[in-house]
Amino acid sequence: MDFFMPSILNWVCYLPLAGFFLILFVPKEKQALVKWIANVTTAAGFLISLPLILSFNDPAYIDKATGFRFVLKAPWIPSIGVQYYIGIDGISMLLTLLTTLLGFIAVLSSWSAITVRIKEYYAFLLLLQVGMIGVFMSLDFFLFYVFWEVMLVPMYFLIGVWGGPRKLYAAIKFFLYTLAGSVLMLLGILALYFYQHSVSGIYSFDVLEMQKLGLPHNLQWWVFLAFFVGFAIKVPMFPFHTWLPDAHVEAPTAGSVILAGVLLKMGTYGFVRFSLPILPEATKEFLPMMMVLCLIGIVYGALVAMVQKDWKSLVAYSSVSHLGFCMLGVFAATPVGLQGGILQMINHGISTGALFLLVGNVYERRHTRMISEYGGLSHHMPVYATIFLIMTLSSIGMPALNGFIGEFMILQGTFAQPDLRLYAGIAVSGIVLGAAYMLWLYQRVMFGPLDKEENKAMKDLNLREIATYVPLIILAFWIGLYPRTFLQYLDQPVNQIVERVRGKAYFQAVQNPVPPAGAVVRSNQH
Amino acid sequence: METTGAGIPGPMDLIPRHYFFYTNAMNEPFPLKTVADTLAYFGQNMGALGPELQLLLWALIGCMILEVLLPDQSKRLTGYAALGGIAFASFHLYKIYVNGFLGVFFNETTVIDPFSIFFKALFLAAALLTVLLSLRFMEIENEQSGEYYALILLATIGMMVMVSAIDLLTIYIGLELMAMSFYILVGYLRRNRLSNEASLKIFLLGAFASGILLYGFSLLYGLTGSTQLSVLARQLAAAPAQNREMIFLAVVLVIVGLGFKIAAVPFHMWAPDAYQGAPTPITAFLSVGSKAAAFTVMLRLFLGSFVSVKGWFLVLGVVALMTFVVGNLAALLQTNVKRLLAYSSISHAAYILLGLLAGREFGGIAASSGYLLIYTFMNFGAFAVLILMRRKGIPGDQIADFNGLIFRHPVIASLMLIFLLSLAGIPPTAGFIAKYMVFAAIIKAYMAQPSAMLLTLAIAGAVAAVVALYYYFLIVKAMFTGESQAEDLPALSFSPGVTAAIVITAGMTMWVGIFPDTIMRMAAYAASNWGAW
Repeated sequence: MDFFMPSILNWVCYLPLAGFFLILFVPKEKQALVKWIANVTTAAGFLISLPLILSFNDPAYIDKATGFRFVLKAPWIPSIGVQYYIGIDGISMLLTLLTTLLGFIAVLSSWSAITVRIKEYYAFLLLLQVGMIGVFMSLDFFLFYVFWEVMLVPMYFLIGVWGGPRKLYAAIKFFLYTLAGSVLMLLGILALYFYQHSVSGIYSFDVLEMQKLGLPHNLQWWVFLAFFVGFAIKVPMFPFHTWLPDAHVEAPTAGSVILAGVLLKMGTYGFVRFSLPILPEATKEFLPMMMVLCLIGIVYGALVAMVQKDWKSLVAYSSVSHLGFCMLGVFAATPVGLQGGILQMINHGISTGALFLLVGNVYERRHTRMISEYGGLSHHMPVYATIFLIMTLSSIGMPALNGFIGEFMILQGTFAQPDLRLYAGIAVSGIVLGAAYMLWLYQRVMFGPLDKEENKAMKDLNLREIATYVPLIILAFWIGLYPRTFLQYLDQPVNQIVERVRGKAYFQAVQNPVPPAGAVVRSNQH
Repeated sequence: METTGAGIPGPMDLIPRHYFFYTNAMNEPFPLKTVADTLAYFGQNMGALGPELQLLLWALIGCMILEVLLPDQSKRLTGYAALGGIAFASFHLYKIYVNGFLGVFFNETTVIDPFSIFFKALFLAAALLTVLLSLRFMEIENEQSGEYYALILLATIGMMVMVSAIDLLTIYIGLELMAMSFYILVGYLRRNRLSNEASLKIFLLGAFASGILLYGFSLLYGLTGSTQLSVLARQLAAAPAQNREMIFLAVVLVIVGLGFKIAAVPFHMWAPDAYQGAPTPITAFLSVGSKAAAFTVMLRLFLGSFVSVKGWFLVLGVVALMTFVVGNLAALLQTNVKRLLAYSSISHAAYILLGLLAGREFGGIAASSGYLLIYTFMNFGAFAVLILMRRKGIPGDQIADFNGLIFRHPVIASLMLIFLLSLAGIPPTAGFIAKYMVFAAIIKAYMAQPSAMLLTLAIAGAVAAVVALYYYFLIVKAMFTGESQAEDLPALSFSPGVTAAIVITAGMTMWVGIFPDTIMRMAAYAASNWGAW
């Protein structure tokens, strides 16, 4: 295993690339072969990423200096100090696993949904996979930026070639929005880079070194704005969200799954990994603004979702609302809130990913996404109805399912910070609204009379389709019933970030609360 | 490196160490009393002009004489003669580089320094690609002839003289040699009305711009009493206060004259028409070589001789901003790929100006040089694909001609995608490295000396990158999602020359994008020992 485990991150990241090149050399007439290569590559990609969690605490793979796991470091562009530097901590480990899993599910779900230009489709999906995994692993800002941009191109084609009627508009809108954010982010990265050089005399894009910098306030302010534009567009946060419904609605099912499941997480991940620890003062300063934007996203996203006539765009707007919750937890910057925010990223990937798959299943059968075209589906499609119910409940935060844990932790974590209680209170309304639009959707689509002739002929899910949901359902219950399995990996990195933002004094205050005046302090006397 | 005062180049201190052809070179002004002395003097200095002389030799003997001797159907051989000239010139240049044959020659009018070696290599690469692209193209156009290749080589000589020149008159001679060659080359398709129009336009406006440039030079000479750049720098720094306005006027005239050559707004009017009408290989050569040559002169003048002059920074900054806005917005509306690439070339000039504006201390020279080298490859790549599209009876230069290219020629469409992504600056292609270098220079300059202009330029550059993506993707959209045209289209005009050019450019675009260290070192080399003459 020596050739494998120490460089496991390379294997996980570049296995899809191998599949990509393999597919390029297969003649395009051999469609089944292309599908098999893509499925096997992504399945293998998921399997070889499992050791990331299983051996996570193996001391052999822990980098002593930084606490990161499976670190690989090599000079890449020595003349400007860029390194090929990858490694994972708890946060990126969970997101990497989510990516490999959803990547496999997306490929599997496309088996019969994609009928034209199959070779290109799978090639782009695999290329996309490389970019996404790379983003979560990079510990060098330059490398991060390269991966971040690389994945725009395949996504553009996935939407633009295999999408719905307005695909070209949606695809270029997605590309331009994201690019606008990331170019400004590049300027911010360069400012950090040159500041670091002026302090330490070393040219380096090392993210972990940058986290140690105490940046002057003015610079933090500007860099935060630059990063904010880059990440907020990706999340997307409120004023920048307009690309999302277009992209989601027009994208093919697998594209929507990846988009909702992974791509949006890159924005939230960017805030967690870069904005908070590198720019703690600016984070605190911008906190009220960010909170307000999150709340607008939560409530506005939910309200807009409620009035959608298109099933898929309803789920898309629900993403805006859910991502608002994630960001709320992240910017609360308390241990519980931040953990909740990160867990909610995973949860959203699971439940919204599944919901997009579910929409895709019926779309493949009926070629319409209008909610009014459906009704009474539960009569003919019991398995479908059951899975849809589980994922609906997961999405609205039903206890015993994953969504509840995430939302609860976010609200608790936000509430724990006295100055943020009001925000937490308003955010609760988002949960109520969420239940409203999701259950209403369920009612309109699944219950009632089965009065449309076309719907009567619809077949229930086949075995391959069920297989795409099995891992998601298991995870939904697992996180809902025993989240500790996953949360334990978040303790250490989250505490580090909170310490950066709120200072060491925060933990001391939490552990040893100041007793109220006049209280008798009991001492342990034997 | 010896300097007199802040940032002003001092007297030369680069001593020639090895000699390539001629064993006795002089550094001091040489009293030329007799014919024998004169001959000896030139002999001793000619080694510095080795590459240029090779090109001249092959242009005159190889191309022109072969043209007379060869029958019509084998005129293509003159193109091979041009390739031979480029090969020998490259060999000379390589020897100069390896032997460290650096120094000042011809009575301090010509310099061989890392900067000029870097750009001479760039010009030779551009000339090589131009000839490779022309071999089949001119046959399709029925204009295959020896003068064409000879003119390409002469234009290259002009560019090489420009980059080596450290004297206003030498600069002007190089510039005119290059410009004259281009006036003819642009109009080389005699039977094509667009080509005729292009030639007339570039000639009239070009002559006008040359006149303005010369006027600026003459004012500078009048103010300082010298045409040498190093003397100019010292004299301008010590100029009395009442001359400031006149100096500024001279510098502005120089900006106008050179701004025309780099096609910066508002001196860009000729570019779209000239680019569209010219034979496509010449369009590529014009947009890369001519631009790079003019930029070398700008870098030498503004970061060398004019450092002490106040005010040009603001003027050039505004020019760069206008170039970003006009170049990008106009490109959005184009339906002709050659015109689109013309406007894209205008907006690339603005990025290269960013490097110049960042200044020498902040890596601006390396950034601009690296950008120009990368631009050479990616731009020639895009034009090479465009030339493939030119078939008998089909111009193939409308965006609609690219519709559904992926179905008929998946490899070519994918390579075009790489070139366009690179032009748009998306990693992991070379174009991103180019953008990175100019952004790094400008941010570094801003961090050291914050100014509203630098910040505005950086943000304008970022926004321009987004707009640019849109129009490059008009072509991508056509290639990948457009309806395929009728089945009976003639095949693309593949030829060994074009294939070689595409392989070279695509290889460089990807290689530089993934392993940029070499190109960054080369750019740093170009900026090393800069202005030490």
